Amino acid sequence: MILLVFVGFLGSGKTTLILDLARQLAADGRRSCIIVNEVGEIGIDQQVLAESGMPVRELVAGCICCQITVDLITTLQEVAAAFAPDIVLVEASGVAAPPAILEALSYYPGERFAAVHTVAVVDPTRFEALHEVLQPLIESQIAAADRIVITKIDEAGVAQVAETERTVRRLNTGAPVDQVSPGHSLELSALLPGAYPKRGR
Amino acid sequence: MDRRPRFADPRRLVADFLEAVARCCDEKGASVIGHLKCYAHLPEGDHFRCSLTSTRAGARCEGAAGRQTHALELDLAVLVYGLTSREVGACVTGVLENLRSREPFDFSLQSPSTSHDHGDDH
Ligand SMILES: Nc1nc2c(ncn2[C@@H]2O[C@H](COP(=O)(O)OP(=O)(O)OP(=O)(O)O)[C@@H](O)[C@H]2O)c(=O)[nH]1
Ligand SMILES: [Mg+2]
Repeated sequence: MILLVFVGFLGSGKTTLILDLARQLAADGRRSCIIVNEVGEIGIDQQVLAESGMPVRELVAGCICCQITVDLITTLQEVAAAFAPDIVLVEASGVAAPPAILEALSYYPGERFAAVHTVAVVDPTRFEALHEVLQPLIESQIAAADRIVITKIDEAGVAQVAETERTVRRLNTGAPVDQVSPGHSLELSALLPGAYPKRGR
Repeated sequence: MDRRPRFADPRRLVADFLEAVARCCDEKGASVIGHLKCYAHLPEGDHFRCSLTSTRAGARCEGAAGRQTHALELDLAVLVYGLTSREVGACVTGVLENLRSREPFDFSLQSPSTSHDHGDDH
């Protein structure tokens, strides 16, 4: 089971990106499912993500202080038993940071994950302003990620995108950085090279 | 004859609603507008969703195109920094009252502590 964990501030584009990847997975007939953890007590994303046709599980402890904990483990166990998915897409809440999630995952008692990839999703239209007022959270989301995806390049100015990319590369020197927009998807084969060879190979 | 009020363009109404709530949160001193998002259920079984991450960019909606309806059930999340839930609630109620002067409708609010399923019903 491969885990793809998406972190990123509120409204950065996590759900939109996951829907797009879910479409690619469905087209390729991959067994996958989605786990979502939201801030607040009303689950909106669970309904949005269900439009993908994939099984979706919501972590109910969705308040700002409890983030992802034991719920993630029990939910992973449940989906592993129910669907034996190849790939699980996890949408973390907009205020979660990768270290807390990775720590939670270390308690997973099932078979070891084939891989765990953390993707930080960044909205360039608000990056500078958010970085200024929420620096520790924004930086922790970026610094620990395996990959960084800058969204909304259709909406952001060229200079905004360039400046965002400069800053995220400074905060995380090792992670590849992608840019996406509605017309410009992130390819699963780029996200998961070994585990997800390009179609037709 | 059906005398219930009709929403001529439910998507526009909900987009205006989100934008007005965001403006109200701004005016009340929210330090960060995180994400305002909602999922709208129409009695005909259709649904659409709207979302806003900045007052400047406004709300975006996707899903069932705007055909008339007489009722709308909204699941709503207002994720902002720097306001209490009471202040956010006052914005939501105030905006609904305001919108009523444009298109008359009744509404009732359900807080998540009483129901996890559906929030604002108007
Ligand atoms: N123009 C544009 N808008 C986008 C893009 N990606 C996401 N959005 C919009 O940004 C808003 C937030 O997107 P979501 O995918 O809901 O963001 P999120 O990170 O899941 O939000 P939370 O779960 O609340 O933290 C929505 O209105 C999307 O339509 C993009 O590439 N371009
Ligand atoms: Mg989301």
